[in-house]
Amino acid sequence: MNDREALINIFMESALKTGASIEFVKNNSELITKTLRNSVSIANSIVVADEEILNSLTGDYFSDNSIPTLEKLEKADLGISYAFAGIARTGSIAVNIDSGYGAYVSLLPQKHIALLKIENIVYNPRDIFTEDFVNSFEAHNGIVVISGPSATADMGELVKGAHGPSRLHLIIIKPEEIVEENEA
Amino acid sequence: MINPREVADKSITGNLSKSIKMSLEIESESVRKNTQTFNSNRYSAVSAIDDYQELKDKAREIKEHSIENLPELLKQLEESVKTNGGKFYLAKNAEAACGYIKRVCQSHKAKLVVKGKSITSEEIKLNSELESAGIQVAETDLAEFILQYSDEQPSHIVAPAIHQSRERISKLFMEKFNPPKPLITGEELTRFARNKLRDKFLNADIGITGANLIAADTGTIALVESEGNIRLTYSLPPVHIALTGIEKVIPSTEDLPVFIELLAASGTGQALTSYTSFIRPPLNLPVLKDNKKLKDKREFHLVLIDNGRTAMREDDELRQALYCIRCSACLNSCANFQAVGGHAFGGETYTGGIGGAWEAGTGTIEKAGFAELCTGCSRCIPQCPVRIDIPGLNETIKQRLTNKNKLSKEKIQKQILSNFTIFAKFGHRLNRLNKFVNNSRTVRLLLKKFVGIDRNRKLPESAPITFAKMYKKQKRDINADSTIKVVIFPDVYTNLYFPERGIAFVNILNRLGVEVSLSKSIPAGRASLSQGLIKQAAKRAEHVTDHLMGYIDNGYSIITCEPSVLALFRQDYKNLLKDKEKFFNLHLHSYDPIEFIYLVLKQQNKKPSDIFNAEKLYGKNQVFYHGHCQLKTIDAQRPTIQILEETGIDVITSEVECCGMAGSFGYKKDFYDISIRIGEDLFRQIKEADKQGERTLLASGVSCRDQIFEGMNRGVIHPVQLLEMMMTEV
Repeated sequence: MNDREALINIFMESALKTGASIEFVKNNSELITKTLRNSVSIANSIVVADEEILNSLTGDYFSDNSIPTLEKLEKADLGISYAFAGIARTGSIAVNIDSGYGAYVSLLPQKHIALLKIENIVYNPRDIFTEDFVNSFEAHNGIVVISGPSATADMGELVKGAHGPSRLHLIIIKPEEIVEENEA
Repeated sequence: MINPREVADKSITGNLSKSIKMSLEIESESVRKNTQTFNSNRYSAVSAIDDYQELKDKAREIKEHSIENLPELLKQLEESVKTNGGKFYLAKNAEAACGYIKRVCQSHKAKLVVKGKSITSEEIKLNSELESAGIQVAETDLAEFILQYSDEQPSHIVAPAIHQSRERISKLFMEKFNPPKPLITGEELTRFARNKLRDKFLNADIGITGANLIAADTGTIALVESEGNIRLTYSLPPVHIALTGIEKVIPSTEDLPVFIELLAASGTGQALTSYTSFIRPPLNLPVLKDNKKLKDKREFHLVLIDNGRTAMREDDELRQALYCIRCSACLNSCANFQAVGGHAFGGETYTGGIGGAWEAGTGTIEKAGFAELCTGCSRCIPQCPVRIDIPGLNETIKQRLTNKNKLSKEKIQKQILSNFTIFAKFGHRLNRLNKFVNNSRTVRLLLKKFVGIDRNRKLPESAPITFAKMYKKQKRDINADSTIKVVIFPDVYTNLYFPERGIAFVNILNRLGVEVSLSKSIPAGRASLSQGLIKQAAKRAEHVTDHLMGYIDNGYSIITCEPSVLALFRQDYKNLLKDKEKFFNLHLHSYDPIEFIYLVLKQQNKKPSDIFNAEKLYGKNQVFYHGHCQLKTIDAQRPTIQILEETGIDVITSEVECCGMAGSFGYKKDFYDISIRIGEDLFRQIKEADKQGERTLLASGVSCRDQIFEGMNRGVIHPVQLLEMMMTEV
């Protein structure tokens, strides 16, 4: 096992520990659409973060979700966004919340699905705060590092789904040439 | 039933003991369960950070640098915030901060404000200010939501409602909201509160959050949470106000994750909490068309408050409290805090070990009266991600309070307890006066009244002969040609009460061919320090060190059997000795007896089993070992467990941070009940360990020994005594 594979394994293990679920998919728009359709088949109402997501999906299944409204967001069962980075040690993802609707779709619906490119996984939270990253902060006026679904223990026991989603599903996109791994 | 708020202000005489009583009766169970969970999770979370120690050094360095350069940083931050399009306001005090926020609200004709968790807003009593101006404030953090309806102050800096049980919350919700269906489970209660608050979020005019950290270079704010309410607070309403103290500013954005990693692991014991936001408001987040509240342009205000912090910065003794990142590790790792929580061990806003300095800094020194609950056990020291000497802060507070009450009864009691040595010697000379005391109800009643010793406690009874005298009488081999030389410092506890452990150690040293000497027995300052009599402790420290330096210069290692005295040499004297070089010398050359035995064996290329044979215990090789809080902190406990295990002893180690006795603490009538409550955790663990047969009880410290002896009504020996029993012939 090389370092990169070890890093991915650490990411998987840590992410599961936060309460998230994970699956892998090859970087092929049809496959991604298929995977998403499987995950969302029970959802009545779906919102997406931005055009990029819509463009990466094929077919007309997602097409009516062009621009979310507050009402739509509030009632949606599911929000889909990209994560621009994954963090292995903590099992977290980083989502842009300044542009697009990422802030809302990752927060208001009951379930959040995040798409993450495997090559964007780093080891420590501090690894995303490189000098280059900070310098390019223009593009990241706001980011949120998400580690599992929202949770609280304030009511006397641990409850998943406090003010935010009660479920977080991570879809990890691998380059097409990598042999498919088992689902986790 | 009294409301915790009535007894929150610890400057009022009687509030401390009233709040202890209330906490032990009502809140202790929840606080204990929750803090102990945080505590054990923290241990595993920090062990997953590969460079934990280096990260702590880095965090400390950044905080020192930031506080040092605070005025410049604030100027830089002001520029950054303005460049980003936000507004910046530096408030001198609570009144100015509340006034500004009120004006912002009024300028938007705000009727409803949603608030994320902000302890700073508690400090300045923002809610009542806004409410009196007709602005409704909705606390959205679920714990704060509970407190808003139960009208209580926070009992913990991270989990403000940690003292509330599910049953109590359920009862509160039924009374306050009269829901159609009963709310019983955590799930039902959470769902109910979430729905209630969603409505507030969607209708709020303004959102107010705190800020865990702010980077001066870009104006980036870090916000740490698990629920998502803070994210909703800063992203749904059109106006966002972030309110925090000036000490939260650090120079560089790149360094934010250093603190975030430490904060999450040290606090709730998670790698990271569910959400960590890094925002540079006002955000460009698109306007939602059907949200009438959301104007085209978002507005952001950063309100920083001073409110005593500049004075703290100029105070050499309190300054380090400004490094605090509010992780709560010092609360969760504190045995006393675990027993009573922050309604007793805390003031109107700030709680726990670090809370004293903050109540003093932002209020008055009298409000920090709960610092008495810090026993100096020091378990918080290695847990603090920015290496704050929290017991040191509390000793300072105690000293300042004592200086203010020149003639009070408390002061006299402190003097008596800090002169434990004289007290003990007196008892010793008068043919075991303490035995008489223990047998006399009248005398014990008088002790309670005048010295503050609880009548349920027995005073330790001195041994018939001191360690020093026993040592002189004993025939031993003189190992004058030995290359290893030690001098035993006969601490008062070993000398007057438990000479057996000293003698056992001497016998082992003889067996190992080590040259042994005995130094003078003089008070080392532990009792003075725990009473907060710093000047007296410093005097004693100088005296002891001068005496021991002569030995160190001649190649001797210093050993003391009592962990609390060893901790002075290795840790506390750093603050007490004027000459730091002397401290480092003493620090380097002083050892716990078993730590030293372990080193000697290593040097002599021997295995512990070459000298100690478990067979000599005739099958009684199952032990329960309770280390000592300070021994753990100075990392001198491990050799004891190692040596026992390597010689074939079956060791179960206690999992409590401290036994609860902590020197004279457990003797005091005001604190006796806390001491016993803490002891119960330890006794439960012993009973659990005894399930496969009664174990030999071992404890390194005298206080722990007394606590276990009284609680279990069973003999307790020092591990060195067990080793002596196992010692083979030459």
